[in-house]
Amino acid sequence: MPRPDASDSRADAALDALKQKSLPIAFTYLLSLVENLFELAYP
Amino acid sequence: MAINGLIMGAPQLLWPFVLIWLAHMAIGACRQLYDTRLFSRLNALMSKKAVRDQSNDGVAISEITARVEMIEELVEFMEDEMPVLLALVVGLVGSLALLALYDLWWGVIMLGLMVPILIINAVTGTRAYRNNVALNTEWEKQVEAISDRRPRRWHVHFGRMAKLRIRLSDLDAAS
Repeated sequence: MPRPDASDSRADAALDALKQKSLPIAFTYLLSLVENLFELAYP
Repeated sequence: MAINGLIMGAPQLLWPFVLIWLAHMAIGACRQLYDTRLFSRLNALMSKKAVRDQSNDGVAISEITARVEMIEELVEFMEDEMPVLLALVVGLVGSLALLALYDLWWGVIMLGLMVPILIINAVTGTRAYRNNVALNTEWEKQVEAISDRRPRRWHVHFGRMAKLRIRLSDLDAAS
């Protein structure tokens, strides 16, 4: 699937919004990594 | 431990397994509730900003429509594929670290084997980026091409889109 060329000037406005939400996004990725760690505990 | 507990007739040894399973389910459910809300709102925020700014700049509706769809794809990628990629990277770094702890030289050899992979990825990645730019530019013309009502224009537009998608897929396979 094609992906937006994020560094292109066409994406400037959208990237501003992305920067605003960077901390919550990092938090979801952390939760997801913790979730993956649990799978190591299963036999 | 849980299996041994069952075999030995000591079901209390199952409790750690049950607790781990419950914690796993709870964290998984919370993550899903949180990230669906976060990424849905992020999509709305990015799309609103893009539409507002680009409408003010006089960008054609065909281009704005395509860019809103691209934002949706970007957010989907961040929601679905990014966590998988991160888990892969963490797994790879962890495996390399454990291997190096077990035998330093094997760790160094495995790290060295990653160099050609990184070079191939860098080369194909640059080409894929250029292809994506061309594909997105063509995609921005889609509404205009369809509303033009000329079969020749549709043929050229969808033909170009197909060609660029095939090239992207080939680069993906090569990497």
